[in-house]
Amino acid sequence: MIVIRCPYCGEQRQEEELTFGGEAEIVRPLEPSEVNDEVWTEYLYFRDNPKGVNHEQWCCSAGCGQWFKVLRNTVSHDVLGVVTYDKILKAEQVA
Amino acid sequence: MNYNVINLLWQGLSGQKNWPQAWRSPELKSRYDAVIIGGGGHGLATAYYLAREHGMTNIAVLEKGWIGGGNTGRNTTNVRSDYMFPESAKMYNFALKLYETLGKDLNYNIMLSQRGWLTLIHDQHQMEGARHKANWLNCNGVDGQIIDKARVEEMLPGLNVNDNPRFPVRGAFLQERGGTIRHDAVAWGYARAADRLGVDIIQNCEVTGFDMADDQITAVNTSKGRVETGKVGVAVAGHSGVIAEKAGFRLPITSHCLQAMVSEPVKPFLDHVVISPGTGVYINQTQKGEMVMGGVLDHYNSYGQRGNFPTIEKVISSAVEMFPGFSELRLMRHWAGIVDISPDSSPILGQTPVSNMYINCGWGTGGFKAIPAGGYLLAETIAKGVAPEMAQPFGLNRFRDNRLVDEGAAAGIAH
Amino acid sequence: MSGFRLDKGGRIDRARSLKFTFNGKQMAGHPGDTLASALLANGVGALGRSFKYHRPRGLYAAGVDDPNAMLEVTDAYGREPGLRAGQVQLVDGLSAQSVTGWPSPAFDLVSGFTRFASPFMSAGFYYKTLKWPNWSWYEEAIRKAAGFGTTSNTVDARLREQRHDTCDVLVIGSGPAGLAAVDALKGSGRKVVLVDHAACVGGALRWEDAQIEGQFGAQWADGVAQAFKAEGGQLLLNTFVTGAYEGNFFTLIESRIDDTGLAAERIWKLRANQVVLATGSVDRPLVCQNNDRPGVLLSAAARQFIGEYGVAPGRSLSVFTNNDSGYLTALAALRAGIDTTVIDARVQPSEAHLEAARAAGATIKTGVEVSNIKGGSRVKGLVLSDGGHVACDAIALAGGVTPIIHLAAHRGSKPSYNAEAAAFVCPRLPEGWFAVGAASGARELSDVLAQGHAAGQSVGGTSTSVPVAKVELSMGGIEPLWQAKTGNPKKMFVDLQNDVKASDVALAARENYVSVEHLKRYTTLGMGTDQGRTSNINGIGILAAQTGRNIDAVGTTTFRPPYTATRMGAIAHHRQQDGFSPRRYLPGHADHMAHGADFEDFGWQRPDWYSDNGPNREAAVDVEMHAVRNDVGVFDASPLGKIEIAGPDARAFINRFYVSNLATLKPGRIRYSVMCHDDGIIFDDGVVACVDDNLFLSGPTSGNAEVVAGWYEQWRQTEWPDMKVAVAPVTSNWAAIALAGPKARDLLASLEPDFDVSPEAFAHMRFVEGTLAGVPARVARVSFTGELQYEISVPARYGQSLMETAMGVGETLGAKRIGMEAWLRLRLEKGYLHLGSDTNGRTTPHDIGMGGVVGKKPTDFIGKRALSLPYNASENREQLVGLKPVDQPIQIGARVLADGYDTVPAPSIGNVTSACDSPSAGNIAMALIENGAVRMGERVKIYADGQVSEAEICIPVFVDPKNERLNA
Repeated sequence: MIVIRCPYCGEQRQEEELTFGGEAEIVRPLEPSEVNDEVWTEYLYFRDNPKGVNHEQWCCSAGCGQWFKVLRNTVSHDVLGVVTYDKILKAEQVA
Repeated sequence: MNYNVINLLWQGLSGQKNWPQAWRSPELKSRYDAVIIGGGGHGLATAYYLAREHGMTNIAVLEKGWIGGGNTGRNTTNVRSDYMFPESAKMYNFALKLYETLGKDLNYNIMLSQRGWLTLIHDQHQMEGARHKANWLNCNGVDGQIIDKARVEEMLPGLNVNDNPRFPVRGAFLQERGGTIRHDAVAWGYARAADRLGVDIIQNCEVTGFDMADDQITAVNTSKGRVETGKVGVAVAGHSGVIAEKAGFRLPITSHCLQAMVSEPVKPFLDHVVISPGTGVYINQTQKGEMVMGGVLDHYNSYGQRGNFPTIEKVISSAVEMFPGFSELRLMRHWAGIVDISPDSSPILGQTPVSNMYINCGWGTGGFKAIPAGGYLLAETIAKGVAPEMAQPFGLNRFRDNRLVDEGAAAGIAH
Repeated sequence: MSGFRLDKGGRIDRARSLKFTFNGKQMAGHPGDTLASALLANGVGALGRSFKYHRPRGLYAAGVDDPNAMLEVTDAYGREPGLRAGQVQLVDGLSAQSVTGWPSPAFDLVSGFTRFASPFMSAGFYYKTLKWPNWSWYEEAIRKAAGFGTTSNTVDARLREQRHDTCDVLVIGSGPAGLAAVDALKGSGRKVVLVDHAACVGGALRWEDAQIEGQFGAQWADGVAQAFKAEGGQLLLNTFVTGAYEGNFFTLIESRIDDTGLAAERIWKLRANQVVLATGSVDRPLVCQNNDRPGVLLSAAARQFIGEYGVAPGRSLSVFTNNDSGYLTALAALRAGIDTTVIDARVQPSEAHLEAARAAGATIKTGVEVSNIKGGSRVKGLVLSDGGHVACDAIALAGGVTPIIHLAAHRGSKPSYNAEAAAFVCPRLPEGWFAVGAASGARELSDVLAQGHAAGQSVGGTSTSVPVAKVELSMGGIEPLWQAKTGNPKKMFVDLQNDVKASDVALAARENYVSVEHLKRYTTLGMGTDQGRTSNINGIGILAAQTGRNIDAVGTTTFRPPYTATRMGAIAHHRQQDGFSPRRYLPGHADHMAHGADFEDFGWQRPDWYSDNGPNREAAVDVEMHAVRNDVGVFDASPLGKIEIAGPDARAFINRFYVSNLATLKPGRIRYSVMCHDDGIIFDDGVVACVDDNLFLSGPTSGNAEVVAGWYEQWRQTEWPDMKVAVAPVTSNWAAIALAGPKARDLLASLEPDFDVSPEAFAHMRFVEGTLAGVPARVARVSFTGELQYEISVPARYGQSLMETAMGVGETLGAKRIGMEAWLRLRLEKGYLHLGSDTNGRTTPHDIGMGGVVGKKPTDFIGKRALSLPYNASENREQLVGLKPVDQPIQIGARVLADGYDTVPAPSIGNVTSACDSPSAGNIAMALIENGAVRMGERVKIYADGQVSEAEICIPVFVDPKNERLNA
């Protein structure tokens, strides 16, 4: 059972209380009309899918309802770091 | 040596001492005309068809573990071809047709049991959807029909129809040709047949990287050594992204756990495969008497091949809700595979940005039923350098054109 | 079996007798017995027949490790199709049935055939044949022969419960190792949970001969447990830890057994900070010829039957062993008065053990193996490799001891072979875990206690003294013997449940199924209900020898949860019916019920039609539609989504979602629109109302109410956190009804509105906030039916009353309650979109005729960019149009055939998405058809249910095309 402490409400949440939201920090081009089809379809469909450390976002859906970011290993499922959504999720910044 | 009753009797009388190896364990050569990465059902089928249909026998299948050890050995063995979009219908029906004669073609009993696949119908909206599906399948030349509640009750005694069930049963969509196949036998059958044609199957051989020049692969580096080759096929399901990354490109795929579980064996109770769009759970009973059950994906990315308990609880609760008598059955074991989910739940077949690497992935939760087609189509792609017509709607470039083939609506659950 | 009850000994209550039946025969036992010990005491031999060869099989082990003793068991609470006799506590009135062997396990008719056929039925034989003419010819017979008991359609009467908890330390196993850990934790203040699957503590101390701290082992155990409980420690007995998952999350199944059976099961979901794995070990057999005869059992099981239950396995016992622990069995048997012979495969066993056995009266043979076990359905004796014979009626096999490491392996700890213990252990454990005692490979009681104690200290224990043990003989040394060197490998059984022999392992090796996983799947070794607990290691040992590898290189197969098979009812606990997925009821549910609503699950229980309105569905729908077109209908619209978007940036925010330009939506106005995902595909439609510049009401479809609220919130938080806007989903805060029909205004006026309802003041697509009869109300004039229509929302607690009141004052107007079916047909008459029917996974706004709307929107919205991607902008798109029948009525779900085709199979270019028989317009339909928008008036062939008919493409408005009624 993946257990993550929500950085907003501070509660330890089991995965049943959370919603997984895929890759974190996907960049949606700010001016969609100015990018070409390749850039737009890259944004729409292509995702990182590492076997190892993953940058992802979760929502405390059964709790406070906030989205936050998680650094997690997709093989061991170990949660390596959790930050509020306003922070940038880089491996070296996470305690 | 052929597998048949005569040889079985003869071997039985002589103590089984003369059966040859089902496949060799050859040394990895330093050069092959083509290399297939992935020794599961799709990869082995690809090798077989490459050898048989295209005469390419100087080829190798590289498998990082034991053949059939990935999703092929972990699925719930269900097969069907009741897909709606004609491009999907054609491909899955082609697979099912190949499966129908595969045991004889490979001289290996894959135990195809076409016992019928029922998709339950719980409400009006689903009934309307089922009617559309039945008509579309008929247009596509695929068998499928709607049966009424009485017939469902007859076919599935024990299904909760009358006791204020949470998901009332109005009828079902039935594909009679759907059913189950012994999954390991598919891998082993293809392996043995390919090996007999001269294909080298190399187990415990992990691909570590590629030597490339001018967007082409010149050699594959493995844990057993370096292999020069001019053509590479990839059939590694959940690990497709890992291989793609080594070759320098990205795929629109995320890898997730798909869990499956099995009960202890009981006497025959369930004669068909049944899926409920209400619970999202599918169930069949093996020849040994075990109930095999599966449901939806685990929602987060994972390469763990093991699931967590919430899915187990959900699937078991669903099975008991559908068949209340199951409450006395015992869960014996649960496990998981890694499925590669694409944005439209349809496979990705054909060329990649690397001009001599050809891919077969993205089958998501529905790869087992498609193995013969996936292998056949990847083989032709490798042999000719371009995807055959049947595979073209499923090219990687469809995401650039946003021409998705979204079967999400076609299946009761996500594939 | 020639088992019998000993005159004394055992922890059973000899003063009381329990009656039970086995295969219809009356038998007796005592409280404290399991079904296994009671059967053994009654001299039962064959319990059933093996799957493939139909060989008779008897008790092999004392607990869940038994591969043979699968029986159908009925107690006061229900009937279970397959339980191991050793896991069933005996209660009065229990009845057990063999499930294999016909007509009985003792006399089975099929075995004659299988005895003849068995040489041909080696492992995997079915892959090599049974293909002609078709596998399904054979399948039926094979299915009937397989499986244990039968399932029924009845539900058991056992209670089910679930609990969640957390603890500091989870100690799994209350044998000496676990108890030593618990003892060390005394006074530490840690929250400790101690779990054991047995009905009392002590583990093997319940039957082994040992002294701890000067007391009998079992006494010491009870003392530690009392002290533990007195301190507030939680002791869970009759509880298995079934699965170890990440986050140190465990599933436990606790059984509550009363005098009449298994009354209840509770599933625990427990998270622990630290774990002491003290799960003990299981004996394994030796693989020799005919080692599957009833009367052959595991050596430790023999000791347990004698020591815990006071049951002898036979009057004359042989112990075949390759290790010192066999002598413990010999001593236990001799002291119970059983003649015992020890056959030690080792040439030079320990002197101390030989002496002790001789002194107790054993006959001993060393340096010989058993080359055959004789007897049919009961052991009669054995033949030694030196030609000698030994007569006996029971044989205990001591092949070594296998640590129970499953839970660690569930967590991914890779087992590795320890040559000294001749067993697999898990040297690297998950964080916070400690493996102690037999589970870690320790065999001497003093080591076991020391390890338990040390683990207790590591997890916070403060006691410093290790309990002192005294045993007569050590468990000691072992010389692995994976397969007897003499005898017929075709009759040497490795996996007893699946009839896998040593020769099958050799066959698998010969055919190159040499990965340990291939061995398992090809031969089915370890795939039975015992999951290879007593057989896997022997199979691995034989495979290693056959393939010239060492055992660690072969490795084990994967251990998976559950550790022991778990009743599905226990896992499902309350999640049945509404516990599985709550049915949701409308605020006016009582009113609907009172008027004969026929409910359909649309995500909420909604009236499909009302039997008050007609004797059957068609009649009622007819009446309801008529009422809406001529008088007024009252429709419960409560589930329709309601989401408040509030704040200075509310307008800019909501404008990023809908495809229409909401920049121009003035306060008090409503606009219909659709929203898309970023790939340009429509996923929701509805109306948006502007209350004022700081408050908008978004009205998603009822099916998407929660989804859209989550969608708004996710974009707000993750993409546009700087926007000053708040999103509040209020769908279930407000009950809503729709009044639709020419007299809708009259009805609205009768509800005492505090606002002007005249057509001039309250035009179509307007929104008003006010009160109705003093109750706060939000009223929108918006129509799904094409009639004059008002949607009234009031706080949910007024929902019932609003329904009743509206129908009450509406009676004179001819008001009728309207169900979903009529509602949907009414909107079809007007060609209004029904999301999810008239749209599919490819439909874009352009496809439904909103291209102009999209074109007029200058700002970006989710999905806009994708609309110009090649496929979304391509030719031959499926477009939403109307259809009128030419010859036959059009059915929903029909496919539109491509031009030139009039039979199937055929390419098709669209489908009928909605269809009905309209009272005023006849049979009408809507369809998605390629290029439909430019094919008005053309005829197409449509196919449904085996029939082909013709239809004409038209504009999908079939009633009141000028919208006069709408704008009344």
